Amino acid sequence: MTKRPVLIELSQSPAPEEGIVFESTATPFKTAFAMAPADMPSLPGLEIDHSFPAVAIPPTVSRADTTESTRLSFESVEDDPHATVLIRGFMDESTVESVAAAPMSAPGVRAIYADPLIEPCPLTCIGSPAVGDTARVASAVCVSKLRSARMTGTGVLLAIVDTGINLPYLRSRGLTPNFNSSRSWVPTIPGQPPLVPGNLPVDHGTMCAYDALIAAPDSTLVDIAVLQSRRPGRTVMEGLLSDAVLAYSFLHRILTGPRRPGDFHSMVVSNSWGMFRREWDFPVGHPGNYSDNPNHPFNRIVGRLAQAGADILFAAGNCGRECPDSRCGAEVDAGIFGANSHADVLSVAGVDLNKNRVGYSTRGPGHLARQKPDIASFTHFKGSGVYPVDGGTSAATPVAAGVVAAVRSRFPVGPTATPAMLRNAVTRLSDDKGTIGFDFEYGWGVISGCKLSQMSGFTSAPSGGPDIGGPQPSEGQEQTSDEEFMEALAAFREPGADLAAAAPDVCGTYKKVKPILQGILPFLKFIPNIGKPAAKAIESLMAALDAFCGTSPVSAAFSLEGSGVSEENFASALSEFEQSGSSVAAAAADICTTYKKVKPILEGLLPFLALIPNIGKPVVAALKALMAALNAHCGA
Amino acid sequence: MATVMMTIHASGGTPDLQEITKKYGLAPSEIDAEFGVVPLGNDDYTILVESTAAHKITPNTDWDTEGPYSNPKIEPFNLQ
Repeated sequence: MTKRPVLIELSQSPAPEEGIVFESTATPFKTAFAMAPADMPSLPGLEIDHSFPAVAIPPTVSRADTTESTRLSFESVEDDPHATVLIRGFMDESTVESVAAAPMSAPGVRAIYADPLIEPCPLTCIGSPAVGDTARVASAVCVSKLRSARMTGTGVLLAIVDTGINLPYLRSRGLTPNFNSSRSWVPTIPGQPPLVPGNLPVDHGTMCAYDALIAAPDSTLVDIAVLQSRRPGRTVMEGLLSDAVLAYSFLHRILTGPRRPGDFHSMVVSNSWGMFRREWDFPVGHPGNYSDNPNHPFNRIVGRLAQAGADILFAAGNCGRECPDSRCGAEVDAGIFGANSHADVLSVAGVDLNKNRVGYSTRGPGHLARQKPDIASFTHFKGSGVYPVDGGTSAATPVAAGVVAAVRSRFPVGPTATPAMLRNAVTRLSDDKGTIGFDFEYGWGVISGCKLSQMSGFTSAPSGGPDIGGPQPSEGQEQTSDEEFMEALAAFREPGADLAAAAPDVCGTYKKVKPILQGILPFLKFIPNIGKPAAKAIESLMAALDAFCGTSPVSAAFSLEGSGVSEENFASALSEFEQSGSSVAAAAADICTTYKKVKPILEGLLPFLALIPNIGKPVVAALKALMAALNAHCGA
Repeated sequence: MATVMMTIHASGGTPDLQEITKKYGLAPSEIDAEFGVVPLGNDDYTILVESTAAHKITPNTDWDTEGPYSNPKIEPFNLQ
């Protein structure tokens, strides 16, 4: 007869002089509970597990009670006269449910509970089977919503920097990729016939091309076959960093060279490779080092290509602690090296389709820019068929590159849609995982094609260009350059800067903070639901301050009393600015009346602003300085 | 033989590979002609030379130089 494990709750009984003792040899200490034979529960088919130490448990909690403890208690449960006792046993499978439904029929038995099997959550590792497939990846990155938003990769050159692409293989998988041979690059290997772009052996690069096309089927692939060894006897899938220097120089020439009408407008570069071990490098601190040295020629040329307008993605690596690649050697969890952690790239970690980090995904920090990886993307799925599993941070990166290319097809790169702005959008619109905000496992979160598909733009289109949505700056309002913004922000990067920078008069502080406010307005509009009215509120405050500071500044005693803001106050204040035109009307009022309306909105925004990568903290410090000055001036 | 990258700062335009080879007394086998002279921006360029020849590449009246910079192996992040 099959037995099922159960837990039986019993009423306490006075300890008998002679009784049945339950004690455990499995624990480091012995616990004992004695029960008079007469009190032993008489349940059909019950076998008591005497190795389980019989645990005293607190009195029953009513379902209406909160499970959250509201007070501390150091009382021993055993001393509580209302405590009951739990023993473990096994009951016949055929009768356990009916008996458990009516436990009170056995004297002393308070209840019978299931004792289910527990086990750790499995971590996806190198040998794990695939989790999901291409269709699930497409669903996870919301390909259908991207398509509805006209984000399919059209007009984007998608460079796969890898072992090479095999187009016939991709077509055999039902894909019809666009391909540009003249803008592809292959090395010359001495003693071997010339390589033909798009006709390289089916291997890692073909997998990456397949994965990039999931979200960007209408992009134009270019084959940058860097990972073709030129050294005899070595494996096919390796290269030297100098090969990548040549390839990036080639890409830079394409990006900055002449284009025909209807030619590509944006370039996305996907890199699923790196330097596994620092023993291949000069040591850290050596001027010729690569892993930690922004001046290394390759790190410089990556920055150069990004500055020319390319969106560049690099895989974080496969040296995660739990199940690292065998090539990692001693570099397990040693961080993200070289260009894979460059400030001007998106560094991509790996999650499976349950959005759990895969055990081999390298954690940050980055060795060039510390806050890496930037995002996580989907890997370890049944995809291209090149391998049983499209895995590694190798697959995660082109999946993300495809999403980036999709976004670019709607929002081409330009002065108002720079690679830095795109990186900010991708990170801020990701689905947060791990610890709140940034962490070294998931970066800012899992890439969300769903959220990115809802973007209305980075900023307004230049005059005469296509309308890509997004609010126009107010007429007459000057715009701040990136340089002015960063310069103004520098004053607020030091801890305590909000106090130090706050001059006694409002206008002195406003002058320092104004470029920062102008710089963040485009970001605010990305915050769902509240972003646009919040931006209008700040614009109205700035208009009032611009008008006010045209007169002589008024000194006031400095004070820094902040107050909390309730959700009700925030929503109520925001509703005033949700009507179009409201910002201009409100600005006509005096500065303190305007500030009184806007203050709850600013206080409510501070937590959101703090999350902006790289600039969040000094932006918050700057806003707090301005609010302190206005509080002092207006007596708020 | 291991190769390393060197950078040359030449404000007078892209230096010619032949000119570099001649100026530094490099043997043809010591400099990678296929790599050539790769611009890095800001009048900086990089070349690829045998590590044993790196010491020959030193600043002169026309050019400043830096290096050697490592040229490590790179590999794909596939599952292995």
